[in-house]
Amino acid sequence: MASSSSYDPPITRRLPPEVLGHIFAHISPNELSTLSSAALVNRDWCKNSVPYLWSAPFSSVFISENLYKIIPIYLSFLSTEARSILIPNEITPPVILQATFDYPSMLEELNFETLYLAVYMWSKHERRQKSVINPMYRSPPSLETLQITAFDSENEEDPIISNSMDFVIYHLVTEICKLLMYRSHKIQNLFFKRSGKLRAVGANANETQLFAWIAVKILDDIPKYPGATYCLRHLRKLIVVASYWIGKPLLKLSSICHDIATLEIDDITYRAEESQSTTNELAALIQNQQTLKLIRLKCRGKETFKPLAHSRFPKLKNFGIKLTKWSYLADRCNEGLSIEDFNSIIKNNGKNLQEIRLEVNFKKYSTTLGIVGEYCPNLVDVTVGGDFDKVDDLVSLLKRPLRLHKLTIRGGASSFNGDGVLPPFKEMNAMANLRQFSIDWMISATSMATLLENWDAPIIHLMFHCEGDTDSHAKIIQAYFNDQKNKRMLKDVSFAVASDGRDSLIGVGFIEG
Amino acid sequence: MATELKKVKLTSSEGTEFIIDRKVAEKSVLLKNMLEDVGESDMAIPLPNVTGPILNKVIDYCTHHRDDPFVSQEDDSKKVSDDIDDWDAEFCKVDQGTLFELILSANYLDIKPLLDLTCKTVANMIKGKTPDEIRKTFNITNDFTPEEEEHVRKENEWCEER
Repeated sequence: MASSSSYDPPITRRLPPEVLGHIFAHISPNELSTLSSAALVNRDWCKNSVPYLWSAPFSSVFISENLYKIIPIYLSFLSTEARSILIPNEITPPVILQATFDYPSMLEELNFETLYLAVYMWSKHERRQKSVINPMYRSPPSLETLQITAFDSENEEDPIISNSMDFVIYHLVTEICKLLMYRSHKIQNLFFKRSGKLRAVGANANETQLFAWIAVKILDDIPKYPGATYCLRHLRKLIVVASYWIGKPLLKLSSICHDIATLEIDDITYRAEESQSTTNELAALIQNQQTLKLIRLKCRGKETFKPLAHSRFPKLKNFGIKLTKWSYLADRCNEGLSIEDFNSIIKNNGKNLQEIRLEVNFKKYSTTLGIVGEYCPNLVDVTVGGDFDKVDDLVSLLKRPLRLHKLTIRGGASSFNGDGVLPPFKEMNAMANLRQFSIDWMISATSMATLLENWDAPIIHLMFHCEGDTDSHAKIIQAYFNDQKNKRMLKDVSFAVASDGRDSLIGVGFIEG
Repeated sequence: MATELKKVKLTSSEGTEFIIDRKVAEKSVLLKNMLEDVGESDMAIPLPNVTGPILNKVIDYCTHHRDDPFVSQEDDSKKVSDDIDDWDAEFCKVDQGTLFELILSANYLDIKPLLDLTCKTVANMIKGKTPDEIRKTFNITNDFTPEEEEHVRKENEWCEER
C-alpha cells in the first residue's frame, strides 16, 4: 500500500459547507472567541460558523465583559413598537442596521440567567452612558402606573419593580424571549438556573430579587409565546432551579415537549399547599417524555417522588437520588419517600439503568441496595453514599455479577474507618472490571494491602483516604503495581496526595501501555 | 460470525484495488448499505471520490476501530475536541491536504467517528487563533469587502474577550 506522504492533494480544495459546519460543531460554547475568529475568515467560513456562534451565546461559563453588546443585535429584530419603550426611559434605541443573518433563528440553547445578565449589563452600560432615569419615573406614583400597564399577571403578589430601569430590564427580557421563541427553529436546551452571576457583576439584593421574580414570570409565560409550541417541541434538556416555582409551566411544557432527555428540577414544592398539584404536573411532564435518560430532582416536599414510584421509563439509563441528613428538609423528604416507593422506582426502572447514584440514609433504606442488586443487572457506574448501619448490603451488591466500570463510595459520617469493613476486592465480582474506584473511607496501609491482593481489575484510577503518614501506602501501591505490571501491560503508576495534616486523600493513576 | 470472514473489494479513483474484511468495510454506512442492497457479490465497489492513498488511510482507521460500538448520527452529545486518544492523534499527524481529503472521504463514505476525529483535529488547529492566523494556517483568501468585514465584526463583538 502506498504511503500517504507520496500524495499531494490540493490544499485549497474547498470543504463543503456541511463539513465546515461539522468542524465548528467541535468548538465548545466556552470558546466563542474562536468561533468569532472563524466568522471573520471569509464569507464561506462566516456563513458556516455563525449558526454555531449564535446557537448558544448564553452558555459559556466565562462571561465576556462585552456580552451586553449582543442586546442591540437582538433589539434590531424587535418591532418599532417593542423598542419604543426605551425612548421614554431615555435610552436611545441603538442605530438599527439590518443584521447580516437571522441570528435569533439560530438559538438552540437558552440559559435565561445569562440572557438576563446581558440585558442587565446593557441597561447598566446605557445608564452610565446616558443617565437614563427619566425624572418622571423617579416618583413612586408614576411607578405604580407603569406596573399596572406592564403586567397582566394573575399573580396577586406585588411586582417588585421599583424604578424605570427595572421596568426596562423586564420589558427587554420579555421581548427578547418572545423574539427567540418566535424565530428560533429549535430550542433544545432551556435552563432557568440561579448561579449567582448577577451577584458577581455587582447586582444588589433588590436586583437579584427582581431577577428571581422575572425568571418565574417568564418561565410561566414562555410556553404561551407565539412560536413556543413549535420551537420548544425539540426540547432535549430542561433545567429549572427556582425558589418560587409552581407547577403550572410544567403542565404547559408537558403538552409541548415529548423528547426531553435530561430533566433537572429543583425547589419544585416550595409551598406545601401547592405540593400535590406540582407533583401531578411533574408526573404529567415525565410521563409524556419518550426518550428520558436522566431525571434529577432535588426533593423539597413530601409527595415529589410519589408519581415516580409507579412510573416506568423503559429507556431510563441514569438515576440519582440525594436525601442527605444535612439538608434542612431532609426529615420531611425522608418522611414522604417511603421505602416502598423508593424501592418501587428501582424495581420498575432498574432493567436498563447503567448509572445509579444513591446518597441516602441507608439506615432507613436498609433494603434498597439489595433491590438494586436484584433489579439492575446492567449497571456500569454506581455511586453510594450516606450513613450505613452495616455494609453487608453493599458487600452483597458488589458480590453480584455486575460489570461495573466506575464505583464511588462516599462517606456519610466523616472519617469513616474502612478497615476490616470490605472483603478483598478480588472476592467481589462487580469489581472485576472496574476502571475507576473512589472511596471516601479511611483505609490503613495494611488493610489496603489485603484489599488489593490479587485484584486483577483493569483499574486506572483509584482514590481513597488515610490518616497520617502516606509512605506505607505508597509502598503498598508500588507493590500492587509491580504485581499487575506484566499481567496488564502497565507502563507506570502515579501517586498523588492531598493532605490537611490529619486526613490525606490519595489518588493513584495506573498508566497503561 | 460468518460475515466477519467475508471479504469486500473496493477500487479507488485511480483503479487501485483493495480487498478488506466486510466487517471493516461496514464501518462505512455508505458501504454497509450498498453491501446490504447488493447482497453476495464479488464485484468491486468503485469509490471514484477517494484516492488510493486516502483509502489506504481510511482502511487503517476502520481496521483499528473495527470492534468499536456503532455511533448513531444523533449521538452527538459529546462533541468536545480534546478527547482524542493516542492512536487517533498519531493517525491524524498528516499534512493538511491529506487531513482535508480524509474529512471529505469520511463524509462521503459516511464514517461518523472518522469524520468526528478529523474535524476535531481541524477544530484544534483553529482554537485560539485570530482570523488572520486561521487564513495563514489554511491558506484562505479573505473575500470580504472591508464594509462586510466590519459589519460582521461589529455584530459578533459580544463574544470578544476584550
